[in-house]
Amino acid sequence: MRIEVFGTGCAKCKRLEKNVHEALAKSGIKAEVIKIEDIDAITDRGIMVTPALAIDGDVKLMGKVPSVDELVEFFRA
Amino acid sequence: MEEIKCSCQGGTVIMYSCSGNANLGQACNELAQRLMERGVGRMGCLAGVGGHVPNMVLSAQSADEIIVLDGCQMGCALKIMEHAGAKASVHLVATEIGLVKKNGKRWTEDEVQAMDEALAQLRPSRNVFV
Repeated sequence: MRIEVFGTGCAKCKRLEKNVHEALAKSGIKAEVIKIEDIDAITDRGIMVTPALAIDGDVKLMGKVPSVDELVEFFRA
Repeated sequence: MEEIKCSCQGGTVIMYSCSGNANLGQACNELAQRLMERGVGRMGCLAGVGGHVPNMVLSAQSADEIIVLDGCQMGCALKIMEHAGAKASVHLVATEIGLVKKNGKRWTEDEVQAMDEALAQLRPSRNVFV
């Protein structure tokens, strides 16, 4: 699994990244996590609202910071 | 799920402009760019939403506030947003404030100023307009 976290570096985007790592640790799911902070790289993907999260290239959510448990369920789905 | 936006200024604002061929569509485009430069929000890509580009549609659906700028009463930009399942917070129609649509003509500074002032009236709680 390849997880991309999109955000320009504010506290909320960092919180999403932290939650993603905690969710992976909690679930035991193996994934590559990539943080994308460059605004041009973000908008090139059509993302206008951050933080955002993509799994294997597909953007799954924007503008939300799910809890660790919600992310675990999300990754298992 | 906690609803938190990245923007530290009270949520994500996206402006969509009809950007049609007439003077007023292009005036909408100019105004949207000026709003973006002023820090009001980001200018969204209406073509991307109209083309059902998934991330563009999701962006529109995820915005806290959507400003739609239409040149004339046909309201094409608003219709695109509705088709995408995104709700406009503010909708300005240039012809409804007395401006005259002229096909194939360029926008004028007076037209952009008039729209800017009209938009400020529609968003009285915001103090970012001059």
